[in-house]
Parts: sequence; structure tokens; C-alpha cells
Amino acid sequence: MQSKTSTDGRWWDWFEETLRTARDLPAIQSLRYQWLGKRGQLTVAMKELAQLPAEQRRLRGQQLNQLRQRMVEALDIRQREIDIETEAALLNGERLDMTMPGRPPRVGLLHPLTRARRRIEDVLLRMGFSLHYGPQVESEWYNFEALNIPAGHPARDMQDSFFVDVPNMVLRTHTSPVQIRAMQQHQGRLPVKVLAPGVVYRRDDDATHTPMFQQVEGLVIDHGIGLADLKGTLTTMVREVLGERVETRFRSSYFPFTEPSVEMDVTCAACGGVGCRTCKATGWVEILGSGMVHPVVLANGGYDASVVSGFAFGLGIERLAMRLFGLDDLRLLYQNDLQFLQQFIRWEGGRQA
Amino acid sequence: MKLSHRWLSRYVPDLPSPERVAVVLQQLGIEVAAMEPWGERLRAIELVEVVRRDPHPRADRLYLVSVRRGSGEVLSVVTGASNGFPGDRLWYGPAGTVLADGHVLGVRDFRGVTSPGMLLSPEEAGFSAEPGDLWVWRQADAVGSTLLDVLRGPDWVYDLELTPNLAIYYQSVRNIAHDAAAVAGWTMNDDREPFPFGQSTGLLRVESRADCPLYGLVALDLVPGAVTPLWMQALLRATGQRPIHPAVDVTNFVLWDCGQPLHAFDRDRVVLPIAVRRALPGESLTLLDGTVAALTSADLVIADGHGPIALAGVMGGAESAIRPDTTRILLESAHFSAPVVFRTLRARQLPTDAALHFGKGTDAVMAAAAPARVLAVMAADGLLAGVGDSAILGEVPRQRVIPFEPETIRTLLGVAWSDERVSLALERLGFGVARDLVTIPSWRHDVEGSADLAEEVARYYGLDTILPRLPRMAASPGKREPEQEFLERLRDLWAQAGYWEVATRTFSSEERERTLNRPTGRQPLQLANPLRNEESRLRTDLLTSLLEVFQFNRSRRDRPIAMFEVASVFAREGERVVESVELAVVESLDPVEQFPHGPRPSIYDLKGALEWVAAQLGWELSLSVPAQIPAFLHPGRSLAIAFTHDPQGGGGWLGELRPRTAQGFQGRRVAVLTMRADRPASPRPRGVMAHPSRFPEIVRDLSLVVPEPVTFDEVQTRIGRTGSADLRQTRLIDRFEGDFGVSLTVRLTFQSDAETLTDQAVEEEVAHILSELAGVGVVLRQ
Ligand SMILES: [Zn+2]
Repeated sequence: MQSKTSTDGRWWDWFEETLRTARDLPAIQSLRYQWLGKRGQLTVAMKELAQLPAEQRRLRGQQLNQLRQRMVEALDIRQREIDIETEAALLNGERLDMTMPGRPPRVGLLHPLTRARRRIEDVLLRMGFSLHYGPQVESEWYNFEALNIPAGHPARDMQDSFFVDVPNMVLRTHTSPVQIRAMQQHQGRLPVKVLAPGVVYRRDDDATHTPMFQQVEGLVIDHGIGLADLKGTLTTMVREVLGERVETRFRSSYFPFTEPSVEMDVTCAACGGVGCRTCKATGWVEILGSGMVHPVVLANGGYDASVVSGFAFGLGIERLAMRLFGLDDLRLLYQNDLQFLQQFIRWEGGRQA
Repeated sequence: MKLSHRWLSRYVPDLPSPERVAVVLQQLGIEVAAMEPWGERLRAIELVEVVRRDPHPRADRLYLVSVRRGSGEVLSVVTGASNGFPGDRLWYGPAGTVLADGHVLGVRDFRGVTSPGMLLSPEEAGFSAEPGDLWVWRQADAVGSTLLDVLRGPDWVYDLELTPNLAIYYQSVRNIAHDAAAVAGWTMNDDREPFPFGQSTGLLRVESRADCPLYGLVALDLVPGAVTPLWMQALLRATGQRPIHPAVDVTNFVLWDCGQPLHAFDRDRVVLPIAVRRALPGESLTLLDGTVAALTSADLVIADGHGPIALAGVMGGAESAIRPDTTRILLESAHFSAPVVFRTLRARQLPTDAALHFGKGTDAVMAAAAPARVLAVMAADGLLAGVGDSAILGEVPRQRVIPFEPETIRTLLGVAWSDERVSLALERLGFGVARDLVTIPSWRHDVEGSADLAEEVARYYGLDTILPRLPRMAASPGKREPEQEFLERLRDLWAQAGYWEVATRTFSSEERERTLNRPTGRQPLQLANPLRNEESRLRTDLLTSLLEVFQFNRSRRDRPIAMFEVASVFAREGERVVESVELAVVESLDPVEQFPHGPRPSIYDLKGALEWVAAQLGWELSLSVPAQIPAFLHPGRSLAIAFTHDPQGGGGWLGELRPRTAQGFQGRRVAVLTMRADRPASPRPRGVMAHPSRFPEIVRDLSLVVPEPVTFDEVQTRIGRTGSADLRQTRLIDRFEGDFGVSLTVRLTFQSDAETLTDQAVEEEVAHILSELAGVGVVLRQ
């Protein structure tokens, strides 16, 4: 009896010593095999139990089973330890310099002019305006005569035009001809509520003028439309585009195709309305021209000024973009320096921060 | 137009501050672009009295003139002037004085004699006066007065920007004063009494009454040696005009004062009677500016017994012009037809002040009244020696009358003002309102109907009094046209695919488009009046515009470029202009030097982007390698693009630029895409999204030896021809070359919606595919 258990003690001591010095998985495997394998020392001892008398067999069986369980647990623990050590050594070898730059995703971006144009389009779409279009090379009738600018009219000088080698055609000097086209398409139906964005041309090139630029034209016709509606609509639009805190004012102006004509100013963004060089110390900058549609223009679109009235407005996308993005040079927008354009990725497309 | 505050105050004696006046002008719709003080320069110029005049000790033609200043100080100034004797009072500019020409006076040494500043001539001070080197002052002002004191202090000058409608009647201090006084409630002096013309027969005849409804002449004589009064010189100077001769200056003054151009002839150089008529064939006239005008019957002229002496309302002739010593004047005051004058102004490019007034339409009442103003001004300042014969032909046209429609005016403004409130505004601005008619003031040729009257009412009360509101109308959602919706989506997709949108101008030139030398088949639309040669046509090709942007960026820095634009190109077909929308994409293919390394740029990136964009849009494109590749493209790395719905319609090209062409734009390897941006012929079918299959996928990789010239496209077509319903995907996963030629590894993915596929079923499909491929000599690599 005594001898048997002291044998177990020696076995355990020897097993534990070997396990402690096992440094890798094969050593563990071989130890497991040596004791617990088919011909392992403990397996053999358990097979030999059969030769013992029943009394001893039961007791000895319990002792050997306990020993076996201890060995399995010890082997499992050691194996997990070695797993962790091995993995640590392996991952240590895979270390990267994580301070190196990341690989940026490849992204593109819409041009700021497209974004500014869509911004105003989206606001006016929500206000119920539908988009209409017309050709960039326009007939003189649509560009001038239909808009109450007959030959010899001083306004033809105001909008110095590019002509082409096709007779009676001109690069449109404004998006206003789309007013006529849209009215004709409506064929007298009411209300008319259209928005016409597009490229226009003036024979002018300096720091504040570019021979090609973009405009957005708006037109509303219905029964009983007045200057009050124009003021309300444009103020709402401009607050939606530029922010609630923007103040507006209206000034009398002149366009051949509207009567009365007004211009709308908004608070100067550069100084917030205090007065600076940008706004010539007035605190205001002009944002758009507008007015009540001239009776002649209504008639040319097929509407009777004694029955309906309407207002129209036009604003420059470049000027709006300069305001939205805080630009001071219009020409940069057409230079397409990609490094310059990359800055616009920070503009989230909502209101300016 | 420049407006003098002092001039305006001649009409409104209690004129408030310039700031307040500017606000009122703004309400009238007059833009005040700038406001500047005038005359500060004259504060330094001081009246002094000569006490001694001695010759310069060392210079023959110089004198030392001792003058007493207002402070009592006597100082000695060197002058070369022949006048300036003891007792004379002269204008002295101390060192620091700025002369009329901008010259700044200093302390100078004249042969050993120091001279602080100068004694001034009228021209140096900026005025004209009686003849003489130095300006001898004969008024009673005290020694020590400054020139600015004499003018009663500095003036303010408003720089006005008049819109064309306002220019019809606001090129007149009187008319501005009239409306400003009305709006602001100021009291105004106004006098429009007609001049009592005589009945002198034989003085003139008017042959073209339609061209000239009213023509008056007054003979008058000036006091010999008369000088334009200083106050008038100051007003003319302040508003940017140069005093010339009293007769001319007074007519100029009256022109701007009440908007009525006048002309002064030298009476000794005209042969009466004067005729107003169209020019006869062959007549010509030497104008004041020295040019000779060959006249036509379109020109209205003033003629004397010998022939034309002036282009009516535009410019006088040189022969009958006022000379420095002219005193016998024949003054013309007329009302010409605006279109007639405008036509001559335009045709002859003579935008004189007179033509710019007459050409826009003048106030006929003023034509009859202006001579009275001339004579009053001349008499008051002692210039007038006498008035001779006078006559006037024609009548002041009747004032126009239009209906008074207060309801229309209220609608146009969106207000609920009473009829009385509406008519009050009109009456204050000079309109007559009687029952249902409005009489238009004689100076308001711009007013035609109720819309114009509505503007007057708005100007009178101010736009701020109209309260904003939103239109009440049937609400309907706004929408974009499908064509534009499509183009916006096209832009969004390319931006999502990693390309930067650019915005180029549509101008180009033959030379610019030759760099790419891409045959578009479009006949260019030429500009008749380009700003410059490089912008002499509208582009026929969008790709060139983008490559120019590429070049611009390359000239600044060497960085990867990937950009696109969706924009119009133009062509002419006979007398028709064709505008079509194109898509162009440009991408640099140079290896990107960066660590950690990214994927190597390849033409397949652009092809993949196009395929992805096309799939999103429902574009059905056929991409093929045609036998003929245009010269601007790499012959081995390009594809023709066609729309399957319109294969003959021309689609576009995708490929690498031929390196030689790329060099023209500072590029090496450049991928380009140029194509029509047509909307898909039929909208994409809106299907139901399929559920994912519950059954497992089976994957087979086939390494195929592909003999020349079989392409991947053919391999894919052959695989597709088997019509296997369970073949879900064919994906190229590798390509390499060995002694067997080119090998492509294709990964086939099989999956069924109905059952778990067996190996045997898949093997049968693979065998079928291999037998199809064998038809073009493609075999499994062993
Ligand atoms: Zn400002």
C-alpha cells in the first residue's frame, strides 16, 4: 500500500519536473505520450490493475485515476502557456511602424460651382420651383427682343455680347431667355414657377468679370403676384442658402425685362455689416437682380399682363460660391488647380461652420 | 455722372448733409458709387498783397516780389511773371501747396535767392481768369483769405451710377433735385418759365419738323474779355469738366443743370438764315474735333447759307465754333428727335454730352426755357452786353397721358394702399393725376404704363414700406427634368469613383484643338468678336479642355491627377447650332511614389470606373477594339465605346493617349475617356431584389492557355455561351506568361437557388465550358 502511493509521489515529482522544463509544444506532446499515450507509463499501470485482487484493485484504481487527472490538467495549463508565449514571439516579429502614414482612400469631389449651383437649386426645388433649360447659343430674339431689349437699346451695350458666325445668333448674355421658353412651354397654364440655371457669356474679362459664368434665373407667374411676393420669396430663399442671420435690403434698379426692378443686397460676409473695403463701407453686398416681369415680356411668353403678373430674379453662381466658400478671386474657380480644389473637401455642403 | 452737393443746393437751399442726401438718392434708385470732398487743395492758396517788386540780383528775367500775408508777415517770392506790382493782390501758394496739375510746391533756390512756394497764375491754381501771368484778384476779399474761402468752403461730389432708365432724366441736377425733394420733403426752387422768344423772320427755318419739333435761336453779345464766374468754374471742375470760354462754359453748365444741351455759334461766322434739315448727298462737315464727317441723309444737320455748320444734337462744326475772342454769339436751344440723334451717335461713335442727352430724350419744356437760364446767369455775373434777335419754330409736344389704374399698381406692389395714397406719390414726382388719367412729366420718356407708375410709387414711399409675403398659389413639388437629373447623377458617380470635377470654359481655338488633333467631325462655331485669338471659337471637343487643365496642373506640380467634366460642346450644321453634352475624363498613369505602396495605376482603373458608372446608370455600352484607332490614342491600349441602343450614333473612346500626344500636354502615360453623355434609351427596369440563395457555392479555378490573338472577351463570351443557369460569376483572377504562351486563370462560381449542387453536376458544366473554349484553341494548362 505504502509502497504504491510513494511510487505515485515519485512519478508525480518526476512528471512535474519534466513538464516545468518543457519549452515547446513537441515537448508537451512527448510528455503526454510518455505518460498518457497507449503505452504510457500510467496507461500501462492502469491496464495492470486487472491482475490485482478486487479489494486492492478498487483502491489502486482510484489513486491512479486521480494521478491521471492531475497530469491532464497540468499538461493543458502548460500547453496554454506555451501557446501564448509562441504567439507573442510570432506577433513580435510582425511589428509595423504604426506611425507611418495611412494609405488614403481615393476620393473625388464635385466642383465648388456645381455644389453652389445645387445648393440654390435644392432650396428652390423645395420651394416648388421646377428646373428649365435653354441653349447656350441663343437667337437674338430670345436673348434680346423677347425680353424687351430691341436693337439700339442701351441695355444691349450693358451686356456686351459675343456673336457667332451663324446669323442672328448670340452667346446668351443671361439665363433670362429661358423665361420666355418656359412660359411658351407652359402655354398659358398657371402657376408658372421655374428655375433656370445655366452658363452665360459677356464680353468682359477682369478681376471681377469673367467672359463665361453661370447664372440661376427664377420666374413666378400667377394671378395677383406683387413686389411683396418677390420680397418674401427672395428673402426666404437667401436665408435658406446663406443662413438665418443674413439681413436683406432691396434697392430700386433697372432691367429692361422687369418693371419695377429691384436689386437685393445681403449683409457683407467680410465685415458682418459693419462696413469694410469689400462692401465699400456700406455693410451690404449685392446678391441678385429682380423685378416684376415687364408686360412686353409676359406677352412674348403668351401671358396677358392685364390678367396675370409675375416676378423674375437672376443671380450669379460664382458670386454665390465666393460667398459660400469665402473666396475673393473669381478666376480661381475656373483655373482648376487641383490643389486649390482639394481644400473644398472640408466644406460639408451644409451651412458654413 | 458726377453730382456736386453745392450745385444741388442751388435748387434745395436747405440741403442736409451729404450722407443724408446719399440715402435719398439711393431711394430714388440712384447708386452712389463714391462720395468725395472737392476743393481741399485750395485751402492752402492764400490771397496776398504785393508790397515791393525788385529785379533779381543775378538773373535778368526774374523778380523778387515781397508780399504781405494775412498774418502781417512779409516774405519774398521769386517770380518770372511780367505782372504783380505793389498794391496788386495775388494768389500765393506756400510750400506744400498742390497745384491743379498735381505738382507740389516746395522751397526753391533761384540763383542764390530762396523762394518759399510760388505766386500763382490762374491755370496753376486750376481756373481761368483775365489774361496776365499772375492771377490778380479784383474782388473785395481780405488779404489772408484762401481760395477755398472765396468759393465758400469745400464741395462734396457724388459719383452716381445711372441705370439706362434713370439716365433718360437724371442727367440733370434739376431733375434729381426735383425727385429728391419730393421723396425727402425738401423745399425746392424750380423755374421752368419759357424764354420770351422774338418773332424774327429770316433767322431760321426747320425743314424736318419730325426730327426737330422745337428749334430756337437767340443772338446775344458778351462783354469783351468776360471771364466765366469762379463759382461756375468750380462746379464744372468739381464735376470733371474743363472751363474753356464763358459762352461754352455757360452752355455746359445749363446742360448739366437742367439736362438741356445748348450750342453756341460764333455769330460772325454763320450766314443766316439757319436751316434744320437732313444732310444732302455729297455734303460734308469738319467737326469741332477736327475730323471730317461725310454726311448722309440719315444725319440731321444745322446748316447756314453755305451748308452744314453742325451735326444736330451731336457736335458743332469747326468753322462756326467759338474762338477765344468771340463775343457775338448765336445760341441754339432745341428739341431733337431722340432716335435721330441716337442713330448718328451710334453710327459715328460720337458719344458727346449733348448726344448722350438728346439721344435718350430730353425735356421739350426745357428747350424753350433754357435760354432764359443762360441769360440770367450771364447777366448776374456781368458777362452779358446785350440780347439781339431771337426766334423759335415748332411747339412743345403735348404731354403724354396714360390710364390711371390704381388696382393694377396695388397688385404689382402687393399692397393695399388707397387710391389717394397712390396718386399722392405720383403727383409729388411731377405726374398729373385727374380721375382716371395720368399726365406724364415732359422729362419722363421712360414711362409707358402702370408697371412704370408702380415703380414710381415704390420709389416714392421706399421699398421698405412694402411688406414681404410668400405667394399664395397651388402648391406642387418642384422637379428636375430627367435629362438633367441624369447628368447630375453622372457627375455624382464619377466623383464617387474617385475623380475630381473641374469647370472649364467653352472657348477654344483651332490651334488649341489641334494639339490633341482628335477628329470630332464637328464643324466649329466661330465667334464673330472674340476677346482674343485663343478664344476664337466654341470648343468642338471637351477632352482638349481637360487636357489643358492637366497641363496647367502638371506645370505646377507632379502629382496624380484624376478628373472629369460633363459639359457642352458645339458645332454648326449649316445655319443650325448643335449643342451636345459630353463626358471627358483624364487620369495620370505614372507610378505614384509613396510608401506604403498603393496599387499601380493602370488604364484598367479608368475602364473599371466606366464599367461601374455605366452599371449604375443603366448605360448599355459596347466596348470594342476596332481595327482603326485614331491617331491621338495608343494603338494597343484603346477601346471604342458605342451605345448599344444606337451603335451608329458614335459613342466615344477610352484609352491611353499616344505618348507623343501626351507630351503636348506635359504628360507621359495618360488615360483618357471621351464620350457622349446621353441618357439611357430606356429607363432601367425596376426589378425585385432577389433573395440570396440558401445553397452552398462551388468554386472552380481554371488555368487556361490562351493562344494569340484570342482575347479575354472571347474567353468570357465562350463561357457565357454554355448558358449554364448555375454559373453565377466568372472572374479573372490571374494572368501570366510562360513557355506555353499566355495563361489566364478564371474563377467560376456555381450556385443553385433550388438545390445543393453536386460535384458531378459542376464537373459536367466545367466540361461543357472547356469544350466551348476548345473551339478557339483555349485549353487547360497541364
Ligand atoms: Zn463689408
